[in-house]
Amino acid sequence: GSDKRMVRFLEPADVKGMAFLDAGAEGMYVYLSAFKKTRKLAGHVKNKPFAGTDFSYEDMDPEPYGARFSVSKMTENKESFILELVPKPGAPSQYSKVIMAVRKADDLFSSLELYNGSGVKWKVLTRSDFRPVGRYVVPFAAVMEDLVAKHTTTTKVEVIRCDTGLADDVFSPSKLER
Amino acid sequence: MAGDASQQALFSIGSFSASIGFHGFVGVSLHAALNDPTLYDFRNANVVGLGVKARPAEHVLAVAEVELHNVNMDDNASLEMLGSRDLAAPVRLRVGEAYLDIDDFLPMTSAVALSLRAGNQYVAWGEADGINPTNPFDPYNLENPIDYDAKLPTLALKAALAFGADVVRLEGVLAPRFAPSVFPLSLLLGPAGADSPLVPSLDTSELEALLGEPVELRLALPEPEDVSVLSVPFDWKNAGVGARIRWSLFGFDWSISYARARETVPVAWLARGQALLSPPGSAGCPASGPLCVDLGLSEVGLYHPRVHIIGANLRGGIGDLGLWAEAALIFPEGMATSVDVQLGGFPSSTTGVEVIDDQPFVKWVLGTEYTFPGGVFINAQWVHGFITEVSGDALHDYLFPAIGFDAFSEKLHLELDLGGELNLNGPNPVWGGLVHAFLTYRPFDATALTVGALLALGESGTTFRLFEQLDQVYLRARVDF
Repeated sequence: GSDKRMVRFLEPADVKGMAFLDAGAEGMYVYLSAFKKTRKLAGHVKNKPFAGTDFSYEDMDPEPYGARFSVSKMTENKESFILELVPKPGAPSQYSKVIMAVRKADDLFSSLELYNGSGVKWKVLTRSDFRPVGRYVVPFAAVMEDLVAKHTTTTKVEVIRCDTGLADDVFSPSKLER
Repeated sequence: MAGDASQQALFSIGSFSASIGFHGFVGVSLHAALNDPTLYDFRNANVVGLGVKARPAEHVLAVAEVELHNVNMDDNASLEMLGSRDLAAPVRLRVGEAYLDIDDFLPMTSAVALSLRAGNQYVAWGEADGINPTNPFDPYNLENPIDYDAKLPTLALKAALAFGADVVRLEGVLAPRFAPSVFPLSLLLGPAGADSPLVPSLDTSELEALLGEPVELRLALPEPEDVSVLSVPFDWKNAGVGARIRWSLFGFDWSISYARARETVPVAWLARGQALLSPPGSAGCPASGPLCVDLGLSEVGLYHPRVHIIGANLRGGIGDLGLWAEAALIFPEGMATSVDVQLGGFPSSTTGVEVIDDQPFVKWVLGTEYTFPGGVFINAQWVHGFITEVSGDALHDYLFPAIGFDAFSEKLHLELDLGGELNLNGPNPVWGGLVHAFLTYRPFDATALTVGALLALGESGTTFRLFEQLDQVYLRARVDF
């Protein structure tokens, strides 16, 4: 689903055991294996990179962009709708503007241009290698480029299983440390 | 890349397969003390940690960790050491976490889950960073006091009952065997004399009544070998027990707890010594001052008082600002303390002082943190009552602000930790301060090199006065695998 997201680190070894949960409206939690504690995270972490990557904690938010941004402008080309998004009132974001390319074929976005508070283009996320998995279409590769830091993070999906019947309580803070 | 691994973990939960994984680290610590070289001899060490984490069934987890410490310097040079590598560079084997965890082992309904963890583990109560007055179960590991937030696992049985997805969580803890905190006796019995938390506070009024005039007490501490500690027998009366309820409300995580245990840091209950009188104007006694009494303590007895602790915690945020609070209402066991003083030329005098009275007191920690766009983070904690302060009239106030910065995708971490101490318990307020700066460089995954420096300064009557012995520069290296 798109309500909650859990990330568990298996490597590198110094962060092995660390886990992160975005429980939507219930907040974000991190399990710090070095301190053996699960901590509730406050909103300021959105200003931090996620585990040293070019993704931010805000980028890891499972909530759809439509819940946090509204469309201020829309154009289209042959393959995609191009949406210009601005944060909704009361939905603070580290981004002042997002340009989203949405594939006409399956309504999945293929790229994001993320602008900082000063209106400068800051990061670009490009998703590719879209493949069908059961009744879903999933991007198997994503590249986040930080144009300011001149740094890139690449993610690749190696194994994916969908509709495995996960119980809701898997996405709870106490499960992070297991 | 972390993203690959996290994806694997996320999507492998649904179809379980038994697994076993090994992990470990190699660490090196080199400390150079600036004031007292002997204090750091035994903390320079090579450490090898090894661990195994096995998941034989979906709801079963077994963890075991050991550490091998090879001390590479020792201050007790002897002839025997020259002929024995075992004596010159001893190796110590320590057990870390070693527990069995069973999750959802009594599935009552889908909305309630019971889990159990048994073995050597961290109970990990308390929302504050490092200093947790509501947690009497996890002893502090102050072997190297700059790691003031280091704790030791304890043998315990912990059960947790979760309602919904952790909407409400009940926990019970039983720690059958008392485990004390580890701390360097030489630090707490350092040259700072009366500032040591291991010496009973001495009431000079009885001496003044005996001598018929005002006195100034000058204290000389005993040698570490003259300090003894009362053992805590392994029986049910000394077992630690506790219960806690946690819930989330208004964007905060809340918890209330009760624990009956023993303080893991000892206090003094017995002191014996010899007093020498010096009239004003002699032997360093100011001519215009009162009679000087030089009290040399020849014996100090320590014990770990039994306490009942009612705790409360919260953690969350207001706006983007992170906030937490931890408060402990502590009901200590009263124990009469005997201070025997032999005065030259006077009949033997015994003064009874109630060091740990049974008056309840409150220790608390307030904290806040924020990360600015660009990655600079600040963190501050106000601590009322340090780890070593275990009676209501001994609590000092501390402010620990920190500022840090990560650069180059967290390859470089620079942090400045400050500390300020205020003791308002005496006739005049006294102050102390501490600066700890360090730089960590991670050239490769799982590899960290840290250089740092610590400087402390305190007036008489402060904990940071004791920490002046800790002034140091250090280098640490660690590789995880």
